[in-house]
Amino acid sequence: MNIFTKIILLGLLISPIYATTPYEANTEDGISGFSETIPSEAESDLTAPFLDLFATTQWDLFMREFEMKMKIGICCMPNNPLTCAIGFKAKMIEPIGYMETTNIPLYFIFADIDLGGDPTKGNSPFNQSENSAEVRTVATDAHFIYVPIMGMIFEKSLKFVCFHQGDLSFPYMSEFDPTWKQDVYYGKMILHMLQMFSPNSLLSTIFDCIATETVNSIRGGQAGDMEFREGMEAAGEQESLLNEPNQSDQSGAAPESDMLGDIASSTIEKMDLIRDTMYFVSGCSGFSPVGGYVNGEDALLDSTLIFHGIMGLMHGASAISPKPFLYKQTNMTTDSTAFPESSPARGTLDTMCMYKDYALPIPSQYLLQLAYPTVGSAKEVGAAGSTVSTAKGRPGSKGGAFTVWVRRDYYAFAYFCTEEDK
Amino acid sequence: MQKKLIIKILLIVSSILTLNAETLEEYSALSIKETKPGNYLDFGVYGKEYSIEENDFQKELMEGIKKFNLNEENLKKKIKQLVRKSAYKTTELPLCKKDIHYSPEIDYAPERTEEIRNPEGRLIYKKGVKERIPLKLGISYDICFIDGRNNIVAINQIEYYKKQGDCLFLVANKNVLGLRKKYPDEQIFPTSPAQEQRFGIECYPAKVHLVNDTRELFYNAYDKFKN
Repeated sequence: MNIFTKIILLGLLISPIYATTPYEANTEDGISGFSETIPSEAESDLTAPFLDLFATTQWDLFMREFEMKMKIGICCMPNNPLTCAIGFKAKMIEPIGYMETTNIPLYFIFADIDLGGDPTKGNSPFNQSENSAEVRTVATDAHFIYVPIMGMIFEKSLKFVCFHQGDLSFPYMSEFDPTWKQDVYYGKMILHMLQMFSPNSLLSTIFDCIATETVNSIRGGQAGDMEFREGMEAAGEQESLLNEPNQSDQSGAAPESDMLGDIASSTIEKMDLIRDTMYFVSGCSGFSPVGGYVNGEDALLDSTLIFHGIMGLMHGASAISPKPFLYKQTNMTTDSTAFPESSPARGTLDTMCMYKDYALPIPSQYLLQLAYPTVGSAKEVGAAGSTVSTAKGRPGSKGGAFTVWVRRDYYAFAYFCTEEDK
Repeated sequence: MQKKLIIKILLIVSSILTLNAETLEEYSALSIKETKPGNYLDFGVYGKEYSIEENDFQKELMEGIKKFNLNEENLKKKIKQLVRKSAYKTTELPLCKKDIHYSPEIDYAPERTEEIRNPEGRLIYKKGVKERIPLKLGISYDICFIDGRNNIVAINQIEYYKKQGDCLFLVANKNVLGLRKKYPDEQIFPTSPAQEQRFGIECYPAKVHLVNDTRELFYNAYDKFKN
């Protein structure tokens, strides 16, 4: 070994390079990924999520997912340059209503109002017992209640956010849907969902489950730190579920901008494409329930599955209405190279300027947040989690209700929000 | 001489590396400290300050929710109204003037006006294709379209079709909740244009008999049920 080599080695010994200790996110509180705790046996005082909006809605989800970038886009109506406007690429999420399932016809869990309906022929009977392990509550009816809460609150301000507008309405009630629990009639009325049921599609359930759980795990860290609450406060108290903006800072958690790096975003995009391609499967919950048939073993799990079925009806067509109620308003889950140039469906790919009709359900566009019988954090559609056993002590004898959150990708300030804007 | 110069250079380089390593360590420690809000350093204010004109989002949200003024009685009224709206559907189709029976024909679903593709671009449903979904062998299904504008006539229609076998009743111009109380064992639902179009109904009352992949239409004169 010559003198030069010795000096270099000596230099390396003298100049140790201390590896930077990687910053470990505080997982005790703050953004730690999805977590569940089984609540205590105490009965919940929560009975009507809509009557206690503040305590039952995960408001911080809006702030966490709202994002605006300095990327400019232009929106114009075809052949009408006067309608052109410049906007900034943005994304947001908002609650648009409730999805509830109940074993009491015409009982509206979201407002705790029972109109005393009679069961229609064909609905399954149900058994209940105090032992939650023996609860077999078959959800016989389902409702989708449209309540654009944020549009109602911020009617005049925050117009650039483009919240859904309108008044309370019931776009779907299974009590008046003749295809509900009528599989023969369902097959005659709604064809495209049935065509995907084949032995090959059974394999799809595995992929969809993995994709959904992956997305839920990545995004779950951003969905807030709500947990199933042990003994909800009485409806009179306004316990805020809205975290103060500086709370996560004080806990020492990593800044939010570090949570979703490029790799995570790319993973989410790929997983969401799988989820939306397998539109006939609801993640780990199984096949989309044709005509509302679920196995009836877990009321809450059945509720999430039923939502998937109803989402399909409201995106496509149902016996009740040929006109869709839900639209494609996210832009991230289509493979534009696969659509032929001549295909009219290509026009549905880009929804940055306006929402578009899309006949198939889009699981990646929605989140379900448990609101009754207890309150939980928002989850991706099809993600495992909300079951009767996790709401132990509150078996949900009357059913279950979820707040439905919907995402939107759009050009803020240029988006054609309403029909009048077009 | 050259060797001495090279040695000096190497010593300088190694000392720089050593210095940087220490600095790096200090920097790392400082970075970790700096990420904790309690250790933030206040460097004062530079430049002009601008006040935030927008209201705090949380406060605006809380005030907005309070303004909702959710009165339970009003809410119940509203919900009843919405339920009534769902339970009562009208039709633009006329009343049938005579009995007509059409022989069985292939039951095609209405042609799709737009194609449906999944996000991968795979064609799920082709535009303009006539689709037929046969029932399983041995199964038949009846759908009875009833006009309920007159209560007695509506009951007569239901009784008439009940005698012919099980039927899915789709009712126009009447709130189905009342009929359900009277006929708890029957499947009674409100009608809709989608269902009328699906089976090609032209007037009320009508019955659609589905067997295999065929449908058979029966129209009955409305006046027949007035007696």
